[in-house]
Amino acid sequence: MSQLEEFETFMMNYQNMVFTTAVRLLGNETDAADISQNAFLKAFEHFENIRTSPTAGGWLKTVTTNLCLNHLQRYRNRWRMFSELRNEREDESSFESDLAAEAPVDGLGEDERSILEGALARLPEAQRVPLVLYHFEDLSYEEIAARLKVSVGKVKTDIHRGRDALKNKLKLDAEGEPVGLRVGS
Amino acid sequence: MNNQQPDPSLEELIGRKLRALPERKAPASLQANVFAAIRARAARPWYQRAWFQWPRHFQVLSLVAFLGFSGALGWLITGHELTLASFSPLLAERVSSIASEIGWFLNLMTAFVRAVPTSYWLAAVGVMAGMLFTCAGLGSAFYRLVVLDLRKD
Repeated sequence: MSQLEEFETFMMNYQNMVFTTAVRLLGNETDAADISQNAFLKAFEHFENIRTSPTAGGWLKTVTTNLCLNHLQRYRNRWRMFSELRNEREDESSFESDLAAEAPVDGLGEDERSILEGALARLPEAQRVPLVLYHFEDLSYEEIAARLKVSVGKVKTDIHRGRDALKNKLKLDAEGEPVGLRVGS
Repeated sequence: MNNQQPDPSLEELIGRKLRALPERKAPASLQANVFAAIRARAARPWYQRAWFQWPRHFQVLSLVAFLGFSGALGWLITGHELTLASFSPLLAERVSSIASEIGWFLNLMTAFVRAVPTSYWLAAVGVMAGMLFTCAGLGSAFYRLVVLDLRKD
């Protein structure tokens, strides 16, 4: 099997994982596709070393996460001077208005999944990124704070707000069941 | 800052819901795009790639050329009196004339700076800083109030 064929198999095995990691961190499919492409190009450059490594998946996930965080950092730096306050205000308010505009969530399974994916993607970046790093990448609050160069307090606050927003979006009760669908309600 | 402590039940609830999400399917074009980029990279001539990816004989040649050039430069500078005049007396004379004009101008500026009291300079710096911050503030306010409003419309 040639190197390209081997790499094709490698891509088939990991492309969904890489794309999923990127789209959850970036909240945007177009950017996620670009970042996934760059992650696989990096993987190709190091393919001699990683082709037989049992930790190739972890390596690829770390590369993807780093590329996403760098991408977000670059974007943030570019617009920080004029639009940081505006973005935070607008992100919060657009998320709240999305919440109000959409029909109440009363589905389960596929519906709930797509609503949760959508709600996650529409969270403000400041809440989505630490939330994803905490729940999907299993990083601690301290590790997230170090990666994002913010205080641990801010990470905890942002994650808490993100969780609250997701809970409201899914209209869950304390047991995690959709309100209105419980037996006897 | 509002430093909220994590709520363990909410953390467990949302964590469970999020971890239950399936992987997203990568776009069908991803693989084709990656292979197109790999082919484009492979088609680049050797001199457009990073030095570490050059063919071995070009790496050796470039290393020899670099060492030879550095050695020759060192030999010229340390082993010989390398002056501009030894290359071109006319050019050396012109450079010397320009250097003396620059020296005269710098002396004049130094005398001027010393003649003006320090408090005047501090005041001038303060005024300039004030103007800079005013411009930045007005520009930022204009952008937020006018440009963003126009975009929203």
